[in-house]
Amino acid sequence: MKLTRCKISNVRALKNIEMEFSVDAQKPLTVIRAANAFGKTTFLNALRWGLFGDKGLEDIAYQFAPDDHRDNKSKSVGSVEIDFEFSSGNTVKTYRVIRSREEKIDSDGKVSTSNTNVALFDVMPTGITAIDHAEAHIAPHLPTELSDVFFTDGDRALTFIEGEPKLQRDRVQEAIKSLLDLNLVETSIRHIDRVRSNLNSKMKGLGSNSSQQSDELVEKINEYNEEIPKLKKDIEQQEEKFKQAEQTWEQYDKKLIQALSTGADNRKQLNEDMLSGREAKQMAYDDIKKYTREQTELFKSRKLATSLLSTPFKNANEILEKLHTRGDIPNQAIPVLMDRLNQDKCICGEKLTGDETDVKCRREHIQNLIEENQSSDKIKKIVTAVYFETKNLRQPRFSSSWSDDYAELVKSKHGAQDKARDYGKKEAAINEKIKSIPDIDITNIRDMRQKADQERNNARDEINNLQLKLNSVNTEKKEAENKRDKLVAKDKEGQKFISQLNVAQDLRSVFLSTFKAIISTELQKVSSEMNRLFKAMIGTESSEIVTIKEAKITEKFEIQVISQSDDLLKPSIDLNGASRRALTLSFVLALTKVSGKEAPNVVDTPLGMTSGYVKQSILNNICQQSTQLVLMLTPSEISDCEELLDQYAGKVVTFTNTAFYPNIVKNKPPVDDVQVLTCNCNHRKDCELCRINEFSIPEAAS
Amino acid sequence: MNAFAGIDINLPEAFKEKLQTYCQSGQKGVSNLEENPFPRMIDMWFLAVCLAAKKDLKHEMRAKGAQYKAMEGVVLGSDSWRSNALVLLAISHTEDIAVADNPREMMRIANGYALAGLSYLIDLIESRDGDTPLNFLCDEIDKMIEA
Repeated sequence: MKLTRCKISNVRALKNIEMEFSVDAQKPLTVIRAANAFGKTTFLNALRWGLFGDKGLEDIAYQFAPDDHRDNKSKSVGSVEIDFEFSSGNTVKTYRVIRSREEKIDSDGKVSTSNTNVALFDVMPTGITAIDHAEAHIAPHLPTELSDVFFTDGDRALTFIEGEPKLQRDRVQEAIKSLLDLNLVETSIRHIDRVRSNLNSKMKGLGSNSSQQSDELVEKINEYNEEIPKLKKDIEQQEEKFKQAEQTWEQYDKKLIQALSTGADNRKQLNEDMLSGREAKQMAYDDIKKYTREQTELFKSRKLATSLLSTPFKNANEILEKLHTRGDIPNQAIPVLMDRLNQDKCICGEKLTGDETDVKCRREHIQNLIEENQSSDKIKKIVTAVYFETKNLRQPRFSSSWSDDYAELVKSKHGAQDKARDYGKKEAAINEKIKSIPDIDITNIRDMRQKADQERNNARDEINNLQLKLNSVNTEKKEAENKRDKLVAKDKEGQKFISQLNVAQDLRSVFLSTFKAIISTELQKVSSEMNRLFKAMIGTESSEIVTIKEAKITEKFEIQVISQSDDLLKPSIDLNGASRRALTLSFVLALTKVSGKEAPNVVDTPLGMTSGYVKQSILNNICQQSTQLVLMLTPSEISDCEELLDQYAGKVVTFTNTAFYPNIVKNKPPVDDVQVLTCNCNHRKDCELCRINEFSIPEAAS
Repeated sequence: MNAFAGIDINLPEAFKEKLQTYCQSGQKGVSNLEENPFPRMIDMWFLAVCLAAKKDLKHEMRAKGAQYKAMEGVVLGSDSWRSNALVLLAISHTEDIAVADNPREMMRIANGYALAGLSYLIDLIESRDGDTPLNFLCDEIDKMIEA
């Protein structure tokens, strides 16, 4: 999808503007050049509203009426008209959407909205034709969920990595799901769940003589079905609390370390003791983990098996050794007998050639022996292999017993546990000393850290409790379902429901695995594409490249940045403004690319807080990655990027807000009221209308 | 060579949840080694075979109730001595070396021990008081070997 033209009337200061967008594949960029407060954000909101309706507005109470329309207490009709085209193979179809609404301002200044209309037209060379049910036609092409990804501003995009962690993840998750069409799969899963619940309810009254019992079970299962999602949600909430408390604890811990390290010598010593003690405790915990893993490996040991299976191994050993002693294994008879026949000489020394009766008898006897041996040869071969391969099991020789190994491991594990306990006590003693430091700052930090620690522990306990409850509810539900199935299976109708439930269950599993597979593979693609773009944007000249190893999206939809030393960096704290902007734009572009959806990227102020190489690199990369790009840029964002705009911009439109004459706008505008006027001056030109006082615009290159 | 590579290990549905509970491979998230002592389900199954033989439990050739495919015999190949141990067990059980040429029969015999052993093993783990499954089981096996 590409935007081709728009006309905006009476949306705030955009009283009457009309412009075209670049659809040139070589020059995919359209620039709206405007100083701050010259109408960029209004233009973005107008486009969002035109395409997505009220859902496209960040604030539902967003008012359209221009300021001077408010005074005359009359109706103000705002409208947005957008032409856009879709390509399919060699066919290009153009549509026009016209959306309008009335705003009336009463005597108290209160605004009421009415008569919101939307119309869609098929635009053909022969004329335009109205399409019925406009919203139904628009929605599949332009789902509202995509509005944040394709129509955004630099600050709004930052919400993917800034703000409350859960909201960040939700936004990332929602964007990914929308672009990868996963909402459809999720809806299908929910639908199947409803079907299962309905089928369960329909089983009431079934079960022959046991219908009362069966009904009780059906009721119980319905209760479990309601309780399980609630418990899962509670667990998620507690996990979120835990994560937040953990972050707060880390934050105050860092502060405490800093406060102690800059204090007097005794505080520095405390700080060193605290850090070294913590490191030692962590090592002790790592040892406990290692020994515990080794302990679980004990169940897999050959020593244990030979010890527990000693009786059957002894029996088998006797059988096999007997065969070996008798010479039945390994089977050497056939080669020896064959050799004798070839040599024409019997084992006993008699000859095997000639026509004498005894010679014939001897040859016949040897041949019979070979045939007999051949029939038992296969099994003997196998048993011969068993005989040799199992010797270490039948006659084991170990330098130590399983019990010795276990005793040794227990000793090491207890040692590590003792160490962890000792370091824990030392840590408590250090905390007590810190407590006694008569410094209000340190006391406050310490108290906040302790509070976060308490919250973290509470959340952890709550998660464990809820998890146990969830496990038990799941088990009870399963038991109830089994009982119900047994009862209703006595009834023919019941059997039908059970079959339908099984089909629903199978379908659910298929959808769920599909969902998980798409999430895991597609998320990985988005993640690596985002990493590639981010690194390209911040470039090797950036000082931050020294510290940044990679950017990735976790399975929990969290955008993370990893340092060269494998530390987790917090984008909102550890990255500078330019890198944050680069990261979020990389995410948006990666998502667009992986989804394969062709739509314009419309971004307001994408280069704010950036400068120099990173600024040019961001612009260069977004121009290369987008099929159509509309950027709203301030003069300072344009500065130093003129050459790139020469290269990529197919259209440039300059906005001038007459409200800023004479403070910023230099010449008297041709209209008396406040409104945004447009001209076709590009980033290297200005004219009587758009010339401004604050800064000079470079002359056009000759 | 693993003679059991193409053979499935089927178990009664009743064991399914217990195997998931006590095996690390049955956990959705990070497993707690103290609570989920067996790295994989085959480890729990094999220990059950060993315990049944050690305790001379009543061998069950036919499982009761609905069955499910719990594992594939190919997993026995990751510790090759295990498949050899099952061959020896089958020879001892039948007192006939011909069984070594019949992997399905050998698996049937081994699984017969596992059925008896799993019931015993699960009861044993669940008879622990405050102890963790890992420590309790290690202590019990230690006593069993020392006895």
